[in-house]
Amino acid sequence: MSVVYSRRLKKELQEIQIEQADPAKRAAGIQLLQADDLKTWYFSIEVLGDSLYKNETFHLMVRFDPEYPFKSPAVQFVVSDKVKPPIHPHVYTNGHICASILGDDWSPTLSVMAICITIQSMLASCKKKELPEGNDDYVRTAPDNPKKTRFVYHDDTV
Amino acid sequence: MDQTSEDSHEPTVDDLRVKLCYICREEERHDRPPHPPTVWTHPCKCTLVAHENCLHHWIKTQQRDFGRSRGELKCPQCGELYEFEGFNPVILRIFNAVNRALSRSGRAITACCVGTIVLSSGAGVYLTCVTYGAFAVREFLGPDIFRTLLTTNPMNWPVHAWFYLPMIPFSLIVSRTPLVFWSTSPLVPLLFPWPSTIPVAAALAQSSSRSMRVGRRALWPPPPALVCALFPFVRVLYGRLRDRIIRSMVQDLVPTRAQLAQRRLQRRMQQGRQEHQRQGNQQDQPQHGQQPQQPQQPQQRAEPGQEPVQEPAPVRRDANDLGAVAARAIRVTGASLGRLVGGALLMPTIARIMGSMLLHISHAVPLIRTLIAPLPPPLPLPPPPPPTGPIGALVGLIRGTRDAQPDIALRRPFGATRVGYGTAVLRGVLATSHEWATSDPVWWRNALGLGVFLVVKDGLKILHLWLAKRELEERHIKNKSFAGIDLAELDLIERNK
Repeated sequence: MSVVYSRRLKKELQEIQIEQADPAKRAAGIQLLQADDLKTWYFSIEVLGDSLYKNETFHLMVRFDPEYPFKSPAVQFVVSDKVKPPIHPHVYTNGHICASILGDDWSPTLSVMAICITIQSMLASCKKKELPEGNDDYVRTAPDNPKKTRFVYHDDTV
Repeated sequence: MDQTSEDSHEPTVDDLRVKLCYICREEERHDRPPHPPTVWTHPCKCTLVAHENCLHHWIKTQQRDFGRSRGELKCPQCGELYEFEGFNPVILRIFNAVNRALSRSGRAITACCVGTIVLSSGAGVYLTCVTYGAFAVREFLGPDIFRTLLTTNPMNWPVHAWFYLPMIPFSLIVSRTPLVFWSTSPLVPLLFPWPSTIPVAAALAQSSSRSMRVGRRALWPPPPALVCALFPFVRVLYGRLRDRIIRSMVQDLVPTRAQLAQRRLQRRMQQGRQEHQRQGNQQDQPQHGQQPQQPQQPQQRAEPGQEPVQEPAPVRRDANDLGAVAARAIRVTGASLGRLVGGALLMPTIARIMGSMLLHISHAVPLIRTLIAPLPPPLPLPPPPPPTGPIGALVGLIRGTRDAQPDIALRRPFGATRVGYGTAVLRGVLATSHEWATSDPVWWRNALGLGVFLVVKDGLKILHLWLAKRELEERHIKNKSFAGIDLAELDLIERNK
């Protein structure tokens, strides 16, 4: 199904680039940073308006495998010298994100931009900046790819 | 579109002007159909449409990766369940249902199998232990008293026999474990429960005379309970004595490797000095309890001309000496484990053999005869009784022919129903059944025989250690001449003949 994979990603990329060029269509605060190939894309995310993450910018890394769109892409915040992941109860300090749409609740109706918007609203609705429970244990043992983690989605409110 | 004849012609996916697959995001315009044409589907109530191939792939992924069954497959947008049609005959659905049921019951069957294996192997171990326990009791108490006490038919055994007998092999092994300082006496499980047990055979033969008697017989041989109580003291005293003998005779018993190396080094340097100074009379004392990490010591010894420091050898080993602890621990690991267990399990047989040897000797030596106090064999036994023990009672219950006797057998231990608690305890300690008191005290001579055997064994062990130590100390490397070597190659001292 690699035909579906490449055709769909090319199409999504094309739509994103069109949106980015047109300020009227563009999703506010989300910007495509890099999409050199169909494997790894980078976005920057800002939460606009009044939120705990005012004036903070985060970078999101989206990795695809040929099973896309039948399987979700691997999405995580970039952790580097320049950018840090947000402090959020569903975001581990290694950048991994615990969100059901990135696992069991993924469906092909979603898209990369839909993921970015979901994560942006997840940050916008956050009430308290705190690390996830068991962050240190998870970070010590976590695989490189967050898709290899079996998250248990227990909180639907955030 | 003709809206009046709605029922006859509802619009379908094929009536859309532009179709957009919600999975692969491909568009298809009705006026530009591809070649070959693709199949589209609208599986739900919302506006989503998809290529049938894409949807099939999505469904397969869902089933494979999330184990979702057909009933759980629905549209991600409107939640409408997908319906399937086509080749799905009854027989396939039956197969699927049966398969699901089998998978579910498979787990239960696996649990049952594991449980059965655990239970049956446990039962096997238990029965093996019971069998060994009965064998040990027979060996130690003698076949006559065993037949009287328990009978050869396990159906007759009293309830507590089923607890005591399987404990015997374990307590024998534990009694030999050097790590348990308060080691239980191996005699306790072998001896304690049986004298106070009403012999099954006698109880069956004449159910009227079921009473316990407090040591009506003379004080020799002593009551088994007393022997059991005194045994630990005898054992500890003997152990101390033996250790003292070993310490004084073979002072470097079980030398650690470091000590051995140190001693060898000392001897070599001593020989070097002897050659140089002809001081043959310096005997280096082996150093005990001295830790090898004393750096100045070898350097001192290495200097020729300096006399070896004579240190007084410690009289007794430090109890906390690591080497001794290690030696003790080593005894319960590795290959010696088999030796330990085997030796423990052989104990009753050894006791029996030693006991009969004592009996043979007693014919010639009156002192031993007095000591072991043998009796002529008891009267011939009544014919084997019908099963009445707890197992027998069970069997009887199953057969439906249960009578009053099994109840008596269950209520019997110590007969303490009407007497006070203290009296009951006293009876438990001192009382022996009539048959026990009047029978040949095989157990006594076997116990003595076992003691003799252990003493002899320890004696041989000490001798072995002493010989090994002598060999180690007296060992010299044979000095050979230069015969066969060209003498011109050697720088020899000119000697006047």
